[in-house]
Amino acid sequence: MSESDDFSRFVDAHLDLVYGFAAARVGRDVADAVVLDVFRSARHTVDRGEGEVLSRSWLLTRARNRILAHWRLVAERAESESSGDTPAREVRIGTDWDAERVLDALDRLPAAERAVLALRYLEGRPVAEVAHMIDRPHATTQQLLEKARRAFHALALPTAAPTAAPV
Amino acid sequence: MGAQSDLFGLEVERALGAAAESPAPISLRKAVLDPVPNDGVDGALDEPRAPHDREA
Repeated sequence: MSESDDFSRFVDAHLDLVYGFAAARVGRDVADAVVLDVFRSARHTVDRGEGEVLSRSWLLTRARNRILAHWRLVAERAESESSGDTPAREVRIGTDWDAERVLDALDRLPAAERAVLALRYLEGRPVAEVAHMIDRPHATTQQLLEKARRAFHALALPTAAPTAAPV
Repeated sequence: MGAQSDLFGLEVERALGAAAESPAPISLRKAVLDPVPNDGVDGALDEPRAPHDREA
């Protein structure tokens, strides 16, 4: 079996995992770049004869490092890419989230808003830690997070979905 | 206000979890296996795009 076949199998086994990990955090465009970068590094590792170190965790660690670098970059530009205020929408509980629709919404959010949503809700970091990571005051980060949530719901919620009963 | 915010958060968490299950596009697999130098995607990491500019 050739080295090329081995690498193809490795890609097929892990591509969706790395792509989904990245797309949910940075949107599809940047996810494409993350995936290409990660697997390019994997190929170089194989070329150096060190392919035995490659694993799921190797890929996700590298993807995560690239995403963190991207978040730091977009946070520096946060003030210049505001999406404007979005009116609050009623929360719909139990929405059957369609991945494509969610990704469409993420693609349309400003990068800084995607970053705080992912840090808070995918990474599970407290707001104070999110603020530290993007180097913004706590109150500013909280405001950005609330704005991002409203914008995300406005973009992602199916318009015809039933509204949840009041809790 | 707080309860509403918590509900928003839970739904965002669920939605992002659904997005994380998305399969990679076929074109991306091809790009990974047959990389082309300077294919135009690399810059996306360092130059965040404005919203709405992903081609359909």
